[in-house]
Amino acid sequence: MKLYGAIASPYVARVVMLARLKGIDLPLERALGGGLRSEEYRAFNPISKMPSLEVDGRCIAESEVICEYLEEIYPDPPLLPADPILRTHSRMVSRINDLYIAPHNNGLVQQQQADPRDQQLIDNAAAEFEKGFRYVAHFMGPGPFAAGDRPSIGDCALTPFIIMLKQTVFPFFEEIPDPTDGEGRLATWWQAIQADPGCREAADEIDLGLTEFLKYLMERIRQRQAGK
Amino acid sequence: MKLYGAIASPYVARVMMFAQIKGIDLPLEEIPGGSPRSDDYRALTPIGRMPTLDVDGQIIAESEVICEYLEEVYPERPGLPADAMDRAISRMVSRIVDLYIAPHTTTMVRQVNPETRDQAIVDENKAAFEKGFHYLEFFMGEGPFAVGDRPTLGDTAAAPYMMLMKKLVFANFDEIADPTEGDGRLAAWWKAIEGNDDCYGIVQEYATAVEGFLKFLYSRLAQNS
Repeated sequence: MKLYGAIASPYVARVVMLARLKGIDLPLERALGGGLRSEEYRAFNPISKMPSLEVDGRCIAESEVICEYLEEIYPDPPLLPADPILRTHSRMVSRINDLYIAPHNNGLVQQQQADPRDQQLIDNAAAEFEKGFRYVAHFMGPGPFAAGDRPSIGDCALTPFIIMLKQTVFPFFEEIPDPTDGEGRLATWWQAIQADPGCREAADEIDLGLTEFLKYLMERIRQRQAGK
Repeated sequence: MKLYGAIASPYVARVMMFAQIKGIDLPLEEIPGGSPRSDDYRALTPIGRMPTLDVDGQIIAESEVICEYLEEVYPERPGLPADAMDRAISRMVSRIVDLYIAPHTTTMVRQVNPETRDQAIVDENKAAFEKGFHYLEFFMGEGPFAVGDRPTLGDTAAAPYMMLMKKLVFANFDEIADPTEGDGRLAAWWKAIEGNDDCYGIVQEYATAVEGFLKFLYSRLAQNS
């Protein structure tokens, strides 16, 4: 069984974090054929995105589906609570991240260095992030984690995105405050992630992978904008 | 336990179909305040969308999360296969509908009127739909349902959206072919849906509701232009 993807993708990072927390040895490999758009990878996963999980030659695509699969075939330690209502909190955190937080990152990285900035784009993103953070805080279960006193799938979904936003958005856009600052539900949540050795280790691994990728990406953006 | 929503929503129809295949009696209730945007409803869910499930005052949002909950608290008639890989397939079918088909349906409403149609948008969506159908056919398991010989989660996600496609897209855009016609995997799948009373009953209820809703949308567009 292997996982195709790069840890700089928050969707890949979700699965890596889950695997680390569950103690699953899950090698992370670059997409076969050398890239997402290669014929070889398309033949395996026509959606051509990452992550995908290869299980006996078959493809499981979509990070949430992969997480639910791993949770089922490696039930110990559990990364979903036992209680059905708590499980809904964990899954809602994942879905809200995917639907109401993740999409609004589009286009913002380019605005970091842009001169002049597209203020409309930034303000729109700020409004959408505010809503997304509010939704996720509302539907988190009892704390401090996404659903109770242990990490679960919801934490694995949200952590990589918050790490990405801490690196690429909050330091550069005053309009978009970091919801893990201060004393709100997301601040409590982030403190729990940082204080838990397993989550902290995974978060650091994700953070480092992203730093390296962003160095490469920002250089390419700078070159492109200098070339205009 | 009650489900808030209106059956004109394919996400509401999904949960209703899932409850139906599991034999769960799940009353559909009008949204508090009459609209998802009402203050009453937003107090329950700031997201302001349907459906939500009210379990003794505990509100669960997001149709997929609701279905997974129902699966867990009503295990007698499974709405997901027993095998882990098959479960993944059923869930993948849901995700493919939500990520690669659903987003392109909303922009098609505005393109229905041939006089104001932007062919570039139609062509873009056509390409997207064709990819989405290809993904479904690739990832669906042994049939005839999404995976296996019983309907599961993936079927409840795909069937309402396929009916929406029939009413909104295939009916109005000759250039976009209906993959449930002919001999392909989706044709076999749709026959299975039509032949299953639990699924098809909800599909038909949804079809009636969405027809009415589409007529309303078209007339509003005509007024605004």
